[in-house]
Amino acid sequence: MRQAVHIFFKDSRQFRVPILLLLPWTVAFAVIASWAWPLHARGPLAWAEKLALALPSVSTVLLPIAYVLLIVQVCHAEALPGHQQFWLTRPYRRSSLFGAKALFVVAYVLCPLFLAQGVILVRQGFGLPDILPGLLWEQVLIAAIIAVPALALSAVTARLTHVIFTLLVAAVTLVAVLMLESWGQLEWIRLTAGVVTLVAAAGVVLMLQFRGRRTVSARSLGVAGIAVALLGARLLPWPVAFALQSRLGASDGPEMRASLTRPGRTENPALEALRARLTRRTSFAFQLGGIADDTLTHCDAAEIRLEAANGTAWNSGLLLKRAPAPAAAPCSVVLSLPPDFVRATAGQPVRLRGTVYVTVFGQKQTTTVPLDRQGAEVPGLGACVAERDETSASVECRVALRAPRLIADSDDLRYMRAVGQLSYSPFPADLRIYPVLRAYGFVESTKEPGTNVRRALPSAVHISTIAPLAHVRLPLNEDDIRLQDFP
Amino acid sequence: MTGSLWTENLGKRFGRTRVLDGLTFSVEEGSVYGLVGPNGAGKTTTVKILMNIVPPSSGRAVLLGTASGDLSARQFQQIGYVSEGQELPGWMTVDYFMAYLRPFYPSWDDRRADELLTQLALPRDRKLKHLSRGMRMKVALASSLAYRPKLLVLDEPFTGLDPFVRDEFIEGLVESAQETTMLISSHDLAEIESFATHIGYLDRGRLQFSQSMASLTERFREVEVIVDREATLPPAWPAHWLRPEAAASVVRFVDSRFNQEQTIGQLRHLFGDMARIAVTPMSLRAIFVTLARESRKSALEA
Repeated sequence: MRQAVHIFFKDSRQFRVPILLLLPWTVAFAVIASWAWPLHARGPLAWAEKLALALPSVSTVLLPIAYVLLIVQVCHAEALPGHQQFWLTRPYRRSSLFGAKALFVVAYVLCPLFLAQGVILVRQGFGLPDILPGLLWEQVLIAAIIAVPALALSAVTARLTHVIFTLLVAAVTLVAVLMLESWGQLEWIRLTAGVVTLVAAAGVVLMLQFRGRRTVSARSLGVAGIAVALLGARLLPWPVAFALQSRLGASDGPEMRASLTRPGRTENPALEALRARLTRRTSFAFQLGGIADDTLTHCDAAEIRLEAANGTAWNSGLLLKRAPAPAAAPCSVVLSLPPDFVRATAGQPVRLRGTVYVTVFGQKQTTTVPLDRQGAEVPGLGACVAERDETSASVECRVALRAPRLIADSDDLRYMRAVGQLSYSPFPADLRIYPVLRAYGFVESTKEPGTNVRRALPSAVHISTIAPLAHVRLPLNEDDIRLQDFP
Repeated sequence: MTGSLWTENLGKRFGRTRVLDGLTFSVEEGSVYGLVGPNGAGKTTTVKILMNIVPPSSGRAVLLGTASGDLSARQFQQIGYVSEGQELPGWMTVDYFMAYLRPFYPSWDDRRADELLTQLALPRDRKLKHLSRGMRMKVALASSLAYRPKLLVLDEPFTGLDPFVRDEFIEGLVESAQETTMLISSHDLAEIESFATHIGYLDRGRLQFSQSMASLTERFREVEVIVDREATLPPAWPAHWLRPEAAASVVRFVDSRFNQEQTIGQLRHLFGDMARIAVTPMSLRAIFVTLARESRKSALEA
């Protein structure tokens, strides 16, 4: 431990300049972000104000990059690959060397970010005891997703140029991965799988390098780890993620069933034939039975297989509905059927087999938020405050550290838009540098009919939240249906 | 095998290239062992294996009783290493570098460190990156002698040093030679000759011989024979008489197993009456030039 501290002090001295640049930057980020960012400008801003207000948004991108470069530089002070470094033949204990670098990351990366995020959250009205678990988890995420991979990358490289090249390749790969279809509220499962794989690979790389300097093996393993993480994210089936989410659900799913809503039979064969030629779109609606009265449902996805008596079959694949809009209405699926299949099955009975994936929402809670600066705490969503003038008011709800688990809505507000996705993640934080997410709503006074006189704004609005209760997979088995009956 | 340092059948391959082949030698405690040989002979690879910088492909090396692959912080507290291409932390001043290394070595001697810096005329407050190559080598040496290591390994320490710095460097080494076993890999033979007690000659990855300096210089002689007729080389020429030349009435060669009586006896047998025989001791440099040329010749013939 003493040797680790000795090396740590050496590193602190060697990198005092970047440290002395990064720490004030982090402080400025914390101060400005906790003061007024993002600011709803009421008038033209001076250039200095514009610059100051740009700092937090720029920092959310550049601060992690700067910290990664600092970590890399610190590790390269005692580079592991290569044969010429002085420390290789000095009495360095490898565990102390790793300890020194880890200590540096904690002291100059995790602690400053922890304090900065804590300051921002407390200054924006969150109570420290409420946010502390999330704040600590946030540091675990920053360590796992930023610091550990940066340490592993610097353990298998000896020059900054190699690191920058690797980061550019990684950035391009990441962009390619982000272009995958989003899983919306289940995206956290795919991300977690990728991150766990990446951290495991980074851990093995660090162990190989710090224990035995087996650079070739470590590099190969690192590349393999990245490939597995990316392929895993690409190949992980959505139904598996849904099943996992279902197991993590707070309660068992209700005894539900899904059945097809059959519209009235069309008795005009000529019309059927014409429709079969003209359209390929068919809409199915499924009634969901067995749900409690005080719950709403959202169909997250469906998989449909249609089988005709003559042996012709068609698979829809997984049909994802990303933005949840829970309702009491039946679950509907619109299929784009190939014309050949429609023609081949015209007038024939068809069997429908498949699965519908449903999330049940409930525990509706309504909170009254006065349209003044006092605001109110909306459970599960965060602190909501309002700003108003004579004719309009805006309501802003702030959520700490992670995308909300609950769906918020208000009949009083013109719209209620959440910043960031809904997430069913059980963790208290997502990876983010700026730790506050916002949801906005807006209300405007309306005019008396036939006059220019505006009605007074209400003194308060009501915001309702509903929580996901269960994630249920329901089989679909319907025989003897005719596609022509489904418009 | 015994000694502060020994190797047994040490081999190293880089891909298909065999760099070291069955290297076996030992360095006795208190000796100064010069590992010499031409460029590409495998000296630096040997040293890197000894210092656990690269692993051997076969065989083993043992330093102070520990296999080179197991060298850890505890062993490195007693081993010094100075290498021509070693990267030192350029941002440190000489003083800070010494102060930084101090806690790593329980046997660090502040007075000795101070003496070394003074003796080697090192500017204490200058950053290492602002020092000349020779100065940096002296810093590496000072920092490797300040803890009085039991074993000091030097890889091409004299390369590129000007004569003045060389003298200072060697002076520093000689002072420590009494308490430290040394292995010096070098092709700078004149410097090695001045203080090595043992010599190993490495060529194309193989150790050609390993023996004490005294016996080496004893067994090599330049021999010049003047005969009273046109000189020719007899067909039955002994294999250990190297680089034979015959011009006019003079025959010259290097005897690599010189023994006064035997050599003269053989000369009489081959040349009959001779006008004059001159036997001259050889410098280490002359011996190795002879060996290197012989080696090149046999390689070409092969």
